Amino acid sequence: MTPTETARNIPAARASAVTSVGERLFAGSVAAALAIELVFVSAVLGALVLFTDPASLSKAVATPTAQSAIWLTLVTVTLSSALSVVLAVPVAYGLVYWRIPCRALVDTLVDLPVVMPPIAAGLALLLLFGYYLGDVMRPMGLYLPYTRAGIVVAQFFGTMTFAVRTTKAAFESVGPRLPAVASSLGSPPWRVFRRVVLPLARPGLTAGAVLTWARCIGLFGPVIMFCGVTQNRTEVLATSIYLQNSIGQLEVAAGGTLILVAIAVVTLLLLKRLGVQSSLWQ
Amino acid sequence: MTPMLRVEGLSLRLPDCDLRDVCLDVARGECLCLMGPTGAGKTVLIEAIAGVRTPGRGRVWLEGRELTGVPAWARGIAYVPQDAALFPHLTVADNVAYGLVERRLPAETIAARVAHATDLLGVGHLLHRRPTTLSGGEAQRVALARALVLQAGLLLLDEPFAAVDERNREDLGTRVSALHRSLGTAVIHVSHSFEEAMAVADRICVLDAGRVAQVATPDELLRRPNGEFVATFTGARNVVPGNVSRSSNNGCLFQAGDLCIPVPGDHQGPARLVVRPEDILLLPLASGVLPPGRIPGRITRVTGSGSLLRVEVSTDGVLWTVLALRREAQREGVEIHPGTAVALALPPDAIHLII
Repeated sequence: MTPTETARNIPAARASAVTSVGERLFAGSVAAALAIELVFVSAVLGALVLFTDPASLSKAVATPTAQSAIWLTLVTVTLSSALSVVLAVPVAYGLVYWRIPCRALVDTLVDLPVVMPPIAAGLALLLLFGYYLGDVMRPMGLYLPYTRAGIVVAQFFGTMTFAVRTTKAAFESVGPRLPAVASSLGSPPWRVFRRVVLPLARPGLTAGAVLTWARCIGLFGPVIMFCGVTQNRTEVLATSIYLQNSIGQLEVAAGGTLILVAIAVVTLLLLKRLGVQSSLWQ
Repeated sequence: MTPMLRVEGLSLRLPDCDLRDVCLDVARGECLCLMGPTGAGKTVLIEAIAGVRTPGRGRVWLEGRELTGVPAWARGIAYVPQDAALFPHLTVADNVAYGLVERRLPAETIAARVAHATDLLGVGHLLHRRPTTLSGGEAQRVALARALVLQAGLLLLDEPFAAVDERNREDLGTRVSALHRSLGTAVIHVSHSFEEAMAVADRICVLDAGRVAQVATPDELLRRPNGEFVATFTGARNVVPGNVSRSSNNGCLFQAGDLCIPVPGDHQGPARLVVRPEDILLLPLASGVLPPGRIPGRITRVTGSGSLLRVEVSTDGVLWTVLALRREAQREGVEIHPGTAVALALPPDAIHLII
């Protein structure tokens, strides 16, 4: 056997030995993990679908109380996610393109609401707008706790960081190079933003807005702590499920849950349609 | 006359590059090539001039106007980055027109300038294409057009022909040179290729680890490198350390071991002798006494094929690299084979001493 032949044969021999044990184990564990994931998600969704009959679904959708909750949800969520996005664009721009002093501190403060336990966020809002500012704002007609306006504030607080993060990811995907080139061609910062950064970040920004809206719709902790859940007043879809369950209306709660799941599915399909890479929001 | 661009004491520290005290002048209509090994700071230097990076220290003037602290967008410098960096969401036409739109020029002027520049660079047929559909060479031409349309006083080019194929490189270089000379633009052109630099540069600036090693005309840089770094960088492979002393007949002699070579000038003391490989003559070793200035040696290695050969010749303690034309060596009667005894002749005008 010539030296070249030997060299060629050794890896081949080793490869066949490894394929039999290590490679199969590796492929097997990947397949098993994938199966567990799919079975678990399908089982949970299946339980929900099985339990909900058309009658309870129509109860969850068609009664005046349910419709009021759905409308309130759509209005508050759209308002609060719009506010979040409007705030997030300049905040994320500053965080990405400016040199900010005490960077670590600023980043931590901006990111905090997203890791803060939602119930804690609700309580903190209650303390601020109830205990401290309540007496000041009430005479101005701006008392927020346990009101519909309060729902918008709670949802806004719960999603603004999320909106900042997705917007930041969208701006970061543009990179520093093209804005620098635009600047060298004579664009001052606002023009760079409008002519280069914004158009290039648009897919990411759209995805961020859709996700912010979808996240907002399921927001529970801050809303229930700050605004409670009163039928026909401050009942939104997420808190309605909790309310219906606690008063023994399990079928209606399941119907409401199914609506939320359907919204989540539509959102995911929409994002796929937009062709946005998942890395933008993770 | 004030230079078009003056850079004074520019220093900028980055993790992988440390520009220190860079001083440069570029005259109106002049093309200065910036050369140096990777990481020497060529790109960082022109980015600092463009205003894309903020230097730690130093000042920059353009036509007598101080630019220190002026943001990139207000400098009025045309800059072509290394990777073309075209805006992917705009068509070629919109990319080229970008800077003109920012200057709020009338639409007819913009259209005329875009058409002129893109025709000059041979990309006039690509105006409606998106940058993602262009080849590397086409993208670089478009980036060049985007800068040329600005008709700025200073043009910064960061390896503008790197992705252009060899066949078109020379032609493109000539067109760009002709254009900037006719407009009186000053150009700083970062290049990796000596051939390219020789073709376009009025002067070459060699950077070594963030410092200016030498600024000189191409010929001077090849003939009179001011240090070992520049000598080696420009391919003068024969750099021999030794000592210069006065000889009996009132000339000067360079000595390194047993090697003894008459040299021009009147410097005495330690020095390094520099001779370019293409300047050394390869001669047959005749019997009897060698004429003065000839060095006996033996060929140790021959590389290259075809008409141009790189020959390594070992003499007393020194290994010389000689570029020899096969036909010329045959005419002189030299057999170019390892082991052949030969004589080297160093023409006096090819000898340079680094003191």
